[in-house]
Amino acid sequence: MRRFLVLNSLLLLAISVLAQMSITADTEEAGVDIREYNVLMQVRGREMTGICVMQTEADSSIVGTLITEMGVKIFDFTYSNGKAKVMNVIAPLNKWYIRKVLRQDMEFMIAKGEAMRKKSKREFVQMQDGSFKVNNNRYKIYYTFTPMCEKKQ
Amino acid sequence: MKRLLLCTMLMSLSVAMMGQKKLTAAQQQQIVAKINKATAALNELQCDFTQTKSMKMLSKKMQSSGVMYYKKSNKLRWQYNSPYTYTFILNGDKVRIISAKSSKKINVKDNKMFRHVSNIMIDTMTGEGLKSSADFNVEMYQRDKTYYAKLYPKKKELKQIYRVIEIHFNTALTMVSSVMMEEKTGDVTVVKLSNVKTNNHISEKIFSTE
Repeated sequence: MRRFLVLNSLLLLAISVLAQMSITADTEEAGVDIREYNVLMQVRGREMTGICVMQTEADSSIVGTLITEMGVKIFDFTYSNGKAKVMNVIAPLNKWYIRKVLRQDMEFMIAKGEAMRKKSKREFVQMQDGSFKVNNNRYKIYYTFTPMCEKKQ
Repeated sequence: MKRLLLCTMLMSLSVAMMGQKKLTAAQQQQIVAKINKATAALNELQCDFTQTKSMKMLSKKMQSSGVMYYKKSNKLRWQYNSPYTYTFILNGDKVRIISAKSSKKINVKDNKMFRHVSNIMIDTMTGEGLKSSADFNVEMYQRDKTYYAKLYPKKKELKQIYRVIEIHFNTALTMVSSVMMEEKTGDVTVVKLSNVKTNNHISEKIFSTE
């Protein structure tokens, strides 16, 4: 009986330590830079807003997500070695041609337009207040990213 | 060693069992009837809320907070105050969205997605979702002395976004205490309600979409 009690205590201790470890992992990741932006997207005269969270990992790769203010995901993206991928696109937008444009726009935005400036009809405009705009003139899609807060962990 | 393994297995099983207990059909009917009785008496509701979104791809949890107002039968004001300002007002078929950079009006009749979002917000925050048998398969569970419902979407539009929505009730079964929405992508949003006031005369101006 005593042995069973000791075992139980050890297991409970292990469970609580594991729980604490996962909480720590959530909040303290060394070398990770997280930035949040309010996003205004204008598509052919129609407007929608959302929040973009971008997490730059220690190896400079980026994972990001665009969600509505009410918390529904619009799409996720990753960026590594100059290439972006778009995934988990919300159903109404989940068409190959939309994914393609979003991927190219995200790639252009993260690279600040440097790599693609000459060969695409896109513009990257840095504003004085820290916000920036990505204009996709070909498809008339205009994004404005305004920083919400910056957090260096 | 064998005894150690057996004890570990028994312990794991008991930890899992402590989690939740699915109610039988008869028990579910009884609890849902009790909740429905309480929601029927709910004409107005106002409260504070905190929203925490855990995203599968990111280590950061996003937190926001604000206030919510509801008036029977189809009026809702969902207002985020921090860390951003964003207000969603539903009044019958009309929706007005006010954000820092834009303001727009939408007719819910013309926009299927907004119709579903509006319905989900009202159904979950008031507990009305338990009645929507056309929209959800409902399962009731008990954990300790509290009850919660798991709502599995039936309609294609909702299924494309949500895997399951959990509505947690207070111990008296008179009010929703929190809502957990698990998206198909694995992202989870938890909305917790606090400072709840019921039937406490809310001005019509709060729900103005003009």
